[in-house]
Amino acid sequence: MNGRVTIINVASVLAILSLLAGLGAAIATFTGAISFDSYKLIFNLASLAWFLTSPLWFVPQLFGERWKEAGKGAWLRPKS
Amino acid sequence: MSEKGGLHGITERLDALYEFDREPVTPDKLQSGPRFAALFAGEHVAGTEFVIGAMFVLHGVSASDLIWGLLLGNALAVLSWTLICAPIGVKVRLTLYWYLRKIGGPGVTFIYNIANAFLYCILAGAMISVAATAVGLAFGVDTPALSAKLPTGVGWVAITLVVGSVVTVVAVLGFDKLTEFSSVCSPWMLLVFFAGAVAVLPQVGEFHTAGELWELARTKIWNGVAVAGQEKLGFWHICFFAWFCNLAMHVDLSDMAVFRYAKSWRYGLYSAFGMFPGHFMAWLASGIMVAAIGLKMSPGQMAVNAAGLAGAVAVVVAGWTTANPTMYRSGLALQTVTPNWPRWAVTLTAGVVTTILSCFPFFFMRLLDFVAIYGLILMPVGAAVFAEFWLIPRLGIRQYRAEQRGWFMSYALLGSWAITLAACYFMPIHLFYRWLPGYFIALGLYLGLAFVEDRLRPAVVAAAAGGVS
Repeated sequence: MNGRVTIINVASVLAILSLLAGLGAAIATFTGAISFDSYKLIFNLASLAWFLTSPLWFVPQLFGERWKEAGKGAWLRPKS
Repeated sequence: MSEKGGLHGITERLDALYEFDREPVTPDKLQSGPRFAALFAGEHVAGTEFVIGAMFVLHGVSASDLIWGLLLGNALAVLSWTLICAPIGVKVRLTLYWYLRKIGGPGVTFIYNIANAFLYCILAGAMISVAATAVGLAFGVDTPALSAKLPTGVGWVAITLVVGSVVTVVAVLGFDKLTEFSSVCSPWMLLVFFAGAVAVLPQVGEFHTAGELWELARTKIWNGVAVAGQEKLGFWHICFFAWFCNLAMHVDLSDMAVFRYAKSWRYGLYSAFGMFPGHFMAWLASGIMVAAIGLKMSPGQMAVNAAGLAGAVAVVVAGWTTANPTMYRSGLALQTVTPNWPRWAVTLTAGVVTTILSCFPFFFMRLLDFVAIYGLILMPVGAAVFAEFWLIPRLGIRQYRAEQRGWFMSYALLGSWAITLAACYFMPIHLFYRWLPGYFIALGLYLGLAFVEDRLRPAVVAAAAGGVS
């Protein structure tokens, strides 16, 4: 159980970081710090990271009953 | 219509479909405020946002009219949820379906459901068209022109049919897990709008200060000049649009289904978590995105330009997450007129109708008008329910006459609905404004007709088991 809780905790942190990365890339291209192409690359990678990690955080029940239970003990409790 | 007609069988099937939420919500099932905030935030960032915000630009809305109009209109929408919908929801703790049944009788709920099903099909069709604009980019199929009404070519028809078929198949198979998965899309969608708009702003023009940015917005994006063939919209149009955009949910009361789980009517204020990110930020963002591609109404192209492949995925996902539940609801409503059909067959039928509609760009190119008509058609029912709950007891008229006296349908409700819509049709004012005077007409008519009906119409049977013999 503890292992699953840790995985969900890590996934939730990574999911939040991926959103921040996408947002940061947009702001960086807005200020001229990075090129538009670099922004698109970072944004697409961040989106991929979001979809790989956020399901564990948001909908752990998709992965089975034990993940659903583990989700209840996570730092940021998922929506049930 | 005979009160013993074949429609009784239909309404019995309708009741059976909604049987699971027939009883009022019990106190142990009430939900916390943050759950409501999350629900609203997730519901109001959808595929329509790509179209609506862009349409405002093409309709020549000025920057200040847009911002002030959206702020006021969204505030009015939040107040409508808080002061009109939520108080009734938390007091009766029933869905609109069951509450309307007490007021209008099973016949009115049947007509209401069929009207809703048809409107849902059009909305889902528009969303499939939006998704098709992104898929079409991969195959070199152009989005139809802004003025297009009919299918513009084999390519467009093929793309919409394929996208519509996929959405229909998913809805038919009832992929619950896929539907659950769609909940992870909302925060990301919000980011696509915000980040995409921020990133493409430099493409619209050069600026170095906040003042120059405002000047850019005023002159290059929301410059107050409508594109050829489009009507110019101003402050009040925007204000009313933002207010009535979800009329079906707040003033028309379908969100009673949500607020029956609220601890207090003040939970209506949580709708601000949906309105201001979805119907303010996202609409501004899609306006910036359409300006960045030279004012071409193509949600797919706008999103791809703003966020690359992720943008294309966002448009498809946004279209699907709106179309899928809409198609499901439409199937649920249609199931009442298809005796003994299995759910999959009904959903398939709704999907086929929706997919055919999606081939016609008219529906998504005229989305603003459709949204207005959608809310307007259902508005008299919301007015009647409001009157029944708050005003009827104060006027000495007995409440829930249809239920108490076993009427198949309340002629007062049906009459006020029909007459109000006829009055709205002939009103010499803009479509966006008609619902408001229409609402007061519906209130007055319903009160008058309910008074007469209460005095003159006898009970069909002694209220036995709530049925009609």
